[in-house]
Amino acid sequence: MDIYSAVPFSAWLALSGLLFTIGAIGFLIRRDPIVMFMCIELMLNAGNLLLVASARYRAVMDGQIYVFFVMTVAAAEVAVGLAIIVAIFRQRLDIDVDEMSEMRG
Amino acid sequence: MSIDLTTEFIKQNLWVSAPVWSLAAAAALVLLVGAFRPRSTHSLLPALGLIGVIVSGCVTVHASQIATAPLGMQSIDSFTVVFDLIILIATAIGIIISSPYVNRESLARGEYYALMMFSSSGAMLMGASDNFIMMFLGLELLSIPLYVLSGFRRLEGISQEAALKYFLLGSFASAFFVYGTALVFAATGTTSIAAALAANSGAMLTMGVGMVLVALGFKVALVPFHMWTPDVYEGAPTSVTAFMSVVAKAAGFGGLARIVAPGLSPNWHLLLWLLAAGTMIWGNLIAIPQQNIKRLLAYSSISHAGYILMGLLTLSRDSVAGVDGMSAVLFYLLVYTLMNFGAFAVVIVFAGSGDKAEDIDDYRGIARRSPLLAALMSVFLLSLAGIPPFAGFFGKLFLFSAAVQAGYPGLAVIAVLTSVMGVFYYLRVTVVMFMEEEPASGVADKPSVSASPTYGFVLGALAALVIVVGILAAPVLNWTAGGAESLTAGRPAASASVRYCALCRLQRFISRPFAFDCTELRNLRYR
Repeated sequence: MDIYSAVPFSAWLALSGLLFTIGAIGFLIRRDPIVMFMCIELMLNAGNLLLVASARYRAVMDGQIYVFFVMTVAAAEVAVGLAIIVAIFRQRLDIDVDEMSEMRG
Repeated sequence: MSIDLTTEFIKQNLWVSAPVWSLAAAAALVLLVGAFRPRSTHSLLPALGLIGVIVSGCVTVHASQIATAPLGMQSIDSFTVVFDLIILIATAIGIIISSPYVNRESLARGEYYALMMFSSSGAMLMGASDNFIMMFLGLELLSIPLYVLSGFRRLEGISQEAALKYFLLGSFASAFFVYGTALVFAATGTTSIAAALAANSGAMLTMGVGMVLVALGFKVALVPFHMWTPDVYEGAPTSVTAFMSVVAKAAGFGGLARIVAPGLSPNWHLLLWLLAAGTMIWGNLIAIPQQNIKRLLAYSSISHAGYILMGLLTLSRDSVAGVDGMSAVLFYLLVYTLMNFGAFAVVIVFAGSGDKAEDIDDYRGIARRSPLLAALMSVFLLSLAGIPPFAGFFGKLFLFSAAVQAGYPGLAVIAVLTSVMGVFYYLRVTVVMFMEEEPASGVADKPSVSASPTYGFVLGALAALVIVVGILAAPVLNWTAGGAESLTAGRPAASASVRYCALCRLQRFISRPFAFDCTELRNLRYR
């Protein structure tokens, strides 16, 4: 008996939903851009988990292909995001988002 | 879909995706030339980019005649062609406007134009996608270059702040898109937009579609998701702001059209109705007290998103109303491109080196020193406000009349009332420029503002287009109506022979503004 017949689909759904919620809440309450970005990665991976699980249970491969695209794009986002954070850190030596409030209105 | 890797199949695939990859290839070429040729040749990059954009436009038109079979991933129907050409026009204007600006602000680096073009190819992919995977790729190809571009002035605090905010909130929205599409896939077992939305609805599908709409609403800055817009627009280099305000918005609406067109379940229409109403009201209301011209234009762009969403809502009705509404949306996107780029170009010229003068106070009495520039700015602002005879008026007129015909009179009333609010803050800038005295202290040391030849040419051309498109609205509307037809194909009451007589409609609309008889209007069109 493999893991797919032992674990019902609803368990995968619940796990991915939990991961997504943790990521979303973390994004909203943390103030360190790197941690916020890690929370976004968590949300993306929650999506990936749901995609591969439902691809397996429905025996449709589209979901697995989608996951490759999501991972590739996430890597590109990391490159750009960390570059932005490094550029800011060089200038201010401090990257709390609450400090980033020059613009108001 | 059976996999049939014959030459014919590969050819079809290449032609269907030709608009996107031709522009991306041109962007890659610009990137390579910028990286490997000496700096002295960098002044040629915008020209190279422009050639790429023009070639891509020709490829788009040519490909649309060759590629016929929709392959399930993206399609090159008449909507794609019209949409892509609008994006390419915006890209071309963006490149022309950027080139003197990046030189003045010492931002000229090879990757600037390449990033702009990559972003546009992502926008084109979004408007052409039939599948959530493609739409996700388009969304990211659009967004990631924009994150870099908005932080392009990397040594300045506000540009960094803009980039970080846009990046964090944009990625947050992308995560919603991914999870939303994952839910849709889990619920229906397909990533095809039409097939997924045709499935019987359930809680999972509803949640998934809702999350996708949130992500796209973020891209086009609909009201509960608009918080990033003013800060990013203010902090980003002005040429990037202009580009982003047009292309990212158009791309988001292209994506929304691809989702709404196959038939969103009616429960969503109320939500879209509320989003449109809220966006129009809030965007216009908050624009009134703004003191910075870029923030003012940011809030104005939010309110315009509300008007355009109102046009998109008509897609939920029968095909005649849908064609009416979508042709008005495409017309508005084109007009919005022209007038918004115009307004931002004047902002660039007035701000001077280092982007110093960007507050509305800095515009006080500026008409004395540079009457021509002030007059051009007024043309763009009055067009944005929707005052005849400029194109913006006709854009709004078509949108509002389409909304009324599609059975959304309440929304149209809100739109009219909020555009009156809009007139107030656009006119305020004009009044400040023409009626008020310049602060006495500054007059002596301020030379008159003069535009470089490039800006002179661009501003003149844009102002002329804003007026010409206004006067000759009918042929342009016919063109966009052709694009709208493919989106509503297969809907109830579809009629391939619907042809527009925009002018009869206009006369009708003006002569009897309060008595709408839809059947009468519809019959008029066939004469």
